[in-house]
Formats: sequence, structure tokens, C-alpha cells
Amino acid sequence: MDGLELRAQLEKHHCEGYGWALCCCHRDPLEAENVLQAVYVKVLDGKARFDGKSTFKTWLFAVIRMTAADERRRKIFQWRRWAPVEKGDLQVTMKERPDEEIYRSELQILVRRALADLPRRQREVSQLVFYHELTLEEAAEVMGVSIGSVRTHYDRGKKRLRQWMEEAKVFDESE
Amino acid sequence: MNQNEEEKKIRELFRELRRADEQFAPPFAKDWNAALSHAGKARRPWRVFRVAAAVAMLIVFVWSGITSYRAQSPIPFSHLAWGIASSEFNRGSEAWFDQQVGGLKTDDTRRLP
Repeated sequence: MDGLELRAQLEKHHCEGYGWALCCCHRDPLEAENVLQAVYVKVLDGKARFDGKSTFKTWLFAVIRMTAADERRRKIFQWRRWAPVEKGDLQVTMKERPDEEIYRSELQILVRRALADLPRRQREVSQLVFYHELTLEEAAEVMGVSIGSVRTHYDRGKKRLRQWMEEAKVFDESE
Repeated sequence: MNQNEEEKKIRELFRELRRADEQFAPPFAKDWNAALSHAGKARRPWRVFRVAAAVAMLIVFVWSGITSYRAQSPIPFSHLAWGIASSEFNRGSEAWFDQQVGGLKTDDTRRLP
């Protein structure tokens, strides 16, 4: 894949990649954007190469997931060294998110909360399957785990989401 | 509501969430240009430099150790017989000892019963 084609593919999947980066970064938009930029740097430096073994989307999502995990580890290390500074920065970023306030409908808040309450693996599988509409096989490729494991996480996640939405009476309101 | 309908509803909710997120996605050009400005500035050259500096320091340290040992050693450095088997080394050092003592040792030992 040449440079222009790669750029076109990245541009095509940019919005979806951002959505997935949001999921991997606990819905922190600044962190998600940083991760996305770090992924593009990896691609430009040749550290992440698409070998055509999977679809471009699943490859990109796997790179985003790994980069987000790296950033998380790096942040933990930084937090240990300069904890007070990082804490202050985080508070600023939380305040500087008026856009989040604008589009939050009640239902979206409910779904986000339900997702955030799920364990990490279940949340990732639910996001990949329901949000990005990937198959279970593709989700397994992105997460680097077996299809059986993904299926288990998917079933548990779906069950918990359903329970949660029943408790929140989401289904009743829509009928 | 049966399970399929519930699943449909969950998918629908997630689709709405996705649409909302995509509205607030940063423009691709912005992230791409930021990445372009950072690309190629890998930290590896700095790491390589640090490793090279450490190796150079180690070489200097070892070399200074050897030269100071040579200066202090009673046996000339040429007699140390580097890389020669230990038996040959012993033979070499015995010859040197004989030279230094002037054959006294060998004569004395021959006189012994």
C-alpha cells in the first residue's frame, strides 16, 4: 500500500477510529486525539505496517488499542513521578469540554454510563460489535484474543447491558 | 420485548451514540498534520548515542585498568603470554624465574637426593 492510498484509508476511517480511541481512553476526547495522532506517527515512521492479513479497519483498530494501552502505561509512570501536576491538568481538561455538554441527551448519557460500568473486555467487545458493527471474528482480531473468549465477553456484556437498560426503563420509553 | 428486539434497540442506541461522537471528531487534516510534524523524530538515535557513550566509557575504563596493571606488574607484559595454554605459560614463567635467579634454583634442586 503506497503513501497516498494509506492516507486515503486513514482518512476514510478517521471518525470511526476516533470513536474507538474514545472507548479505549475512557471517553476522554483529548486523550483520544493524542492516541490517534500517535497512531498516525507510528504509521508514518513505519512502526505500524498494514500487511493485508486482515481488513484495514481491524488492523487500524488493533493499532489504536495497543497505542492507547501504551499511553495508559506511560501516564501511570508520569503520574507516579509528577502526580500533583497531572492531577491539575486533568481537572482543566474536564472543565474544558463544553462540547460534551451540548450534545448529551439523556439517553446517550444512559448508554455511556452502562458502557462505562462494564468490565474492560466486555466494554471493548460491546463497543466493537454494537457501535462499530464488527463481527465477533473481527472483534477477536482487534483485541488479539480467541473467538471463544470474545463470544463469552460479548454474551456477558450484552446481558449486563440489557439488565441495565431494563432497570433504567430504556425499553419501556421507546415502545 | 423479545431478545432480538432488545438487541436491535441496543444497536440503535449505539448508532445514535456513534453519530453524536462523529460530529465531534477532530478534522483528519489537523491530526495528520500534527503527526507529520512529529514523524521521524524518534527517540532511537538518542538511545543509540547513550549506548555508544557507555561502551566508549567502558573501553576507556578497561584500557586504563590494563595500563595501570602493566605499570605495577613485576613480570614484563610480553611474558604474560596472552592466549597461550596455561602449561606453556607456566613453562615461560619458570624460564623467566630461572633467568632472574641465575640458575640457583635448578642447581639446588638437582643437588637434593
